[in-house]
Amino acid sequence: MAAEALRVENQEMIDSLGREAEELKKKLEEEKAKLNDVDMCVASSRIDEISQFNMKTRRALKGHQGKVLCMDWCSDKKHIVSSSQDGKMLVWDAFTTNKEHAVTMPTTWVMACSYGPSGSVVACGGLDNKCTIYPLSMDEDPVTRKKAVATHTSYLSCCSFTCSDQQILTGSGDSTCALWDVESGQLIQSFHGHAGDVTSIDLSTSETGNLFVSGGCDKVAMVWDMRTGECVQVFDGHDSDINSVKFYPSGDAFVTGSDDATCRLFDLRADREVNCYRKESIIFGCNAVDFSISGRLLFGGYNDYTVNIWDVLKGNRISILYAHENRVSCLGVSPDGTALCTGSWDYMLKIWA
Amino acid sequence: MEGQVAQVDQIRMNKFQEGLQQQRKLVEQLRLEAAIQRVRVSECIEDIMKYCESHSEDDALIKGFSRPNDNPFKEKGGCTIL
Repeated sequence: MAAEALRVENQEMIDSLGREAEELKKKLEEEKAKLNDVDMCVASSRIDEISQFNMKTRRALKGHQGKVLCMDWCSDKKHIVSSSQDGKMLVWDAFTTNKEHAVTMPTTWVMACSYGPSGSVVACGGLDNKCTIYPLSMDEDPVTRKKAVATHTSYLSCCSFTCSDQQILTGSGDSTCALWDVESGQLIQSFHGHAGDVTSIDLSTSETGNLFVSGGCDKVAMVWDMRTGECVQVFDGHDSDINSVKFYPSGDAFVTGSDDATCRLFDLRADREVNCYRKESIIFGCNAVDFSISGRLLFGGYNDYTVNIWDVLKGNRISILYAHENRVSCLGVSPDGTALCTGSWDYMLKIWA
Repeated sequence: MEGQVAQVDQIRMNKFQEGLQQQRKLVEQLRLEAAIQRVRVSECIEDIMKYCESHSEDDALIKGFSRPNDNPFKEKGGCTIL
């Protein structure tokens, strides 16, 4: 009987919370709609079109024997780390195309790799559910000094060092993100909130922010406070999995790439979507996104083997790179903005400039 | 038999507790979001446009290089017209 009474009470509480949630949602929608006073494509009409656009393949990095799944630039603007389905992580000199390090992981599908800010350490992981750190030096095999730092209960989908080599942020198929201390391997903070696999994370470029954004298979992007572990903003709008998230260089906005074949720009201060990059002829999902250094160009790597280049302000596509012979799985603009690197299921990476 | 009933009751209770917990979390999240100070979209867009314009000269992928040799990824060698 007592249980029954408690159950009724509980049900009432759930119902009342449900009503409050609905009211809050409605209020939020109204509030956001009120501030949506202009269309970005209209507002940017006074700005000149981008002319004389000309990007070419400059290098091809060949050596992976499986689908390339992830890549990251070194802060020296010269080296690149990439990981692949065959269980290999490679470190390249992008100028000469030489491979400087090769690490065989104890797993296939190495979905995440990342360079430390110092440029002397890389991290990677995948189906092993772990994030392993490899210090790089010319005289020693990185494997001898490797260190397993993070452990999730499902695959590692993404990882990124914070502003120091001493902390790494990870995202996982277990629907959480986590911040780890590299030295001790201890969990500093975990981030719960996604209702599906986390696919991508990106740290805010603004120094005071302490923010990062995550995207997931639950179709939403979440902005988190790294210190408190709290989700501070949630952004929806996509009709399918979000595969990639990337902060705008100013730190005020971020872009998402999704299986719904669109990319969307969300502004943190407006707390809503402010532009959508789509075309009727584009029907394949977008796996990877990044901005040029001024924030004017948006590069999207798609499942139809192309890279679409969007004008962030005007919202139109200004060019297509017929980049690869299979899906474009990852891409990144070099830290000084001089080149774009793309990675693909065709086992190759290419440098464009 | 009685033990089983008690067990089923317990499972049911746990489920309700879980539901309640989830609902609470959702409402807390929404309250937090409702308290956010928002900025007009026009203002945000203006700032994004300003950022683009003030950094456009540095964007080699749009502007190219003032001297082609500045491009670290330019193919070395080739013909030079004297």
